[in-house]
Amino acid sequence: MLFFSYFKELVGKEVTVELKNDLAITGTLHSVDQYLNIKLENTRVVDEAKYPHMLSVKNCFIRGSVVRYVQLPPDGVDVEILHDATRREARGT
Amino acid sequence: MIETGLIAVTERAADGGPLLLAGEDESIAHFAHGVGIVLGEGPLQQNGTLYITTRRLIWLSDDDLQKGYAVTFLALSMHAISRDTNAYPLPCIYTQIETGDSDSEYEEADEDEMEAALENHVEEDVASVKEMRLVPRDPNILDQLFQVLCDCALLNPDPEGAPEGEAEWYFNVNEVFGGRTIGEDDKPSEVPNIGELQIQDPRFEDAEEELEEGNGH
Repeated sequence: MLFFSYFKELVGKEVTVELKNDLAITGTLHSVDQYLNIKLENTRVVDEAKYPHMLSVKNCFIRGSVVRYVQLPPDGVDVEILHDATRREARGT
Repeated sequence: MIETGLIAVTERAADGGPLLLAGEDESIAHFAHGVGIVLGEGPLQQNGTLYITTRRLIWLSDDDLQKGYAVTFLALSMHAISRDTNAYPLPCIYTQIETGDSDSEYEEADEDEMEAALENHVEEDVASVKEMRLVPRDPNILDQLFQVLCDCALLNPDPEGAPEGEAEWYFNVNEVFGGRTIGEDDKPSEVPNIGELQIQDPRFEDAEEELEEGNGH
């Protein structure tokens, strides 16, 4: 729940989603659901030399189960919200 | 059990459509004629019909009634709209498929293997296909296909791990009420979505009722 709540705050921001198959895709976070399925817009592949055929996939739906990491934009990390959320999560409320 | 990988489909229903999975509540959500398919780095196989069901994505050849492919949404790791002709000469839906190999690492197509497979027409190797492109003759349907794929993917959460919280997408409110959908012009629009208005506006709550009365008397 913590991750879902937190990622919701990042809608509209640019994130990099790293898949379990090592592919990393940067794009604007369009939406996210409780399974952490992720929709990105205006995507680009981080390692273009390695994945040339993925170059300009515009819109992309990624199954939550294949996501390894989501890299956050530095200005998208609101320390206050994170503090709050982790405290609430720890209390189990 | 999660069925991973692409599966060859050699049988069809009496109406020419796909045989649906019994007992899995499978129904066809959408279908489109004139869709070609590319498996891995293979050639474009034209003249097919794409069926998107509540459980699977199925492509059936129009030319060879024993040829077809299916993949469950659980194995469909990613789908995307690809319009860059440098990446692929034709606009298409690009997908990645989880094959269930112990080696689930992404492989930049092992060219030797691929070539060997192509030369030998090794159809049984569909289970190892990690990438698939769906190439509609009419590229204008790409957005719709993409959206249906998103909708049906959401009907198929992974079995393990209970979902957390409410089962709804979180959307940017401006986008939703701006009537935008994924794939459209990125400029925000001020025009409210008419569908939303009709549903949510209390003034329309009893519209149907009134209409019925009007007709009846």
